[in-house]
Amino acid sequence: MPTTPFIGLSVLIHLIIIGFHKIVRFKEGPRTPYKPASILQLAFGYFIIFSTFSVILTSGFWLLSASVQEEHSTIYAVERATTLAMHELHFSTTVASAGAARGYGALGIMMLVPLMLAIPVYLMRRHKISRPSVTLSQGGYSAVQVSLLMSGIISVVISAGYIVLYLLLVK
Amino acid sequence: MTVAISSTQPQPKLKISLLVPCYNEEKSIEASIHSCLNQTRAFDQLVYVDDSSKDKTPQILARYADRIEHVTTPKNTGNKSSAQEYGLAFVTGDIMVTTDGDTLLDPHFAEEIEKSFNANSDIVAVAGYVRSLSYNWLTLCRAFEYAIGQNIHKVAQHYMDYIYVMPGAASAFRTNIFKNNITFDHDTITEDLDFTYKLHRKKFKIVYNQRAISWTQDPATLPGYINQMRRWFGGGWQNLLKHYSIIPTTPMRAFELSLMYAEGLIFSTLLLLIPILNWWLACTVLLSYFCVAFLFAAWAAWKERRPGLLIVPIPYMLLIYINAYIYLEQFVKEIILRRKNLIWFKPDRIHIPLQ
Repeated sequence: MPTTPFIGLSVLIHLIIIGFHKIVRFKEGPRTPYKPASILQLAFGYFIIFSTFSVILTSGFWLLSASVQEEHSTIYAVERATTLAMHELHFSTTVASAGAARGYGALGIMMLVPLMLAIPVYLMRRHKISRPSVTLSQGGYSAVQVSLLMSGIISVVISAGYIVLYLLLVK
Repeated sequence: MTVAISSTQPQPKLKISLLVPCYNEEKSIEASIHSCLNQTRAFDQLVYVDDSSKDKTPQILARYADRIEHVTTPKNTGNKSSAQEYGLAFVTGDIMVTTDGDTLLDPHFAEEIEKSFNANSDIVAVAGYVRSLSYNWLTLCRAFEYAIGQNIHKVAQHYMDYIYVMPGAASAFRTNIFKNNITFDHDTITEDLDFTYKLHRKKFKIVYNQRAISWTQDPATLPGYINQMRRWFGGGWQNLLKHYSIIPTTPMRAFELSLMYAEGLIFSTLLLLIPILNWWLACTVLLSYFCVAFLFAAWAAWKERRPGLLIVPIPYMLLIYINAYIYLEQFVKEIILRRKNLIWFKPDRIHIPLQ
């Protein structure tokens, strides 16, 4: 049963998770008996859902804005509305238009991110450095561990995207 | 990148039972039985539940009466989970392996399952690795999706301690825990996903063993493919709606499910919308996507030892549009309109020769 309808951003993110695991081994802690989630755990869960949706939505918005800003766009009015809306939001229109117009190319280059993780894995194996392990709480990770993991993933993806956009703009 | 379980300490021998629901499986059941009997570690009990088939399935099952337990439902139940529920009463093993009547098990399947359970007494369920039997370009595309899903998504899920779904064609459970905690509700069309959510709700440990391999028959015609995708995506939405309350209860579950469903929803919409908004961009995106898909196909061809996977990116460009459309269609039907579809889809079977 496929998890998503096509190869998408989630494949990249899962590759990054595998890469992280190769550097810092996730070790499972003792399992405790089942008990309902606390309010704090639920709040944290909803925060993660919101953050993940935001990241995916932003990626989708990039692609959408690219589709209405290029010269072949069939809906010029939408293009103007989007540009104005982004201007109102103080979003850098230069970055948005130039980056988004060529941003889909950046997506391909971002596929290289997992390969970047392969370098420390290779070095660690070559120099026989054992992986530090992170003990997991029961049924998943503790809030701190997940925050670290997620912020790491998101920052790697976003920073790689910005580096690529910057390079495209300089050209 | 292999998720394999190793156990070095001697363990008490577990009794492993196999439960196979079948309905009109005359073309595949004999090959399936042979694969289950030819295991390096023999199953201790093989239970075949005939869901009142109308073809020669009962006669074929009767020929193996000395080696398998053949039970028949009083009347056709109409779906797999009801047949499974009926057969569960006959299962006496410590471990219950579930598979399908159109599925062949690798000779080491039972051995790998036993190894997984012996590795850790906390393990309640083991998800195996499903491969698609090769027939034509459609089954190659499915093999490609399986390769990506099981070598990337599921491996990462295993590391995150959140397996999204136990495949119906290759799963194993501790029988007593399954009997005491899993109820057959028959209110979704993908019972395997329903079981998985229920196990997660109780915080049971599920692991993934890539060496427990099964070969399954996927639809070889486009209408069959579309029906199967409708069932899978529709079942996915049904289960999400049914179990939404447990999504935020653990961080990894919240992350994994929101990532997959947000991606499916947003990018399916964009995939269908962008050609209308900007045909040139759509062509460029498709070309870039084709290059990425080709890279993954080359990797999958090497990983699965199936060179045919190299040509998959060509038909896959068509299938992503079909997948995107069905994904959104099922979202509208199941989540917005709340029209629950529980009609079981039975694809046309292809004869599987004896190995």
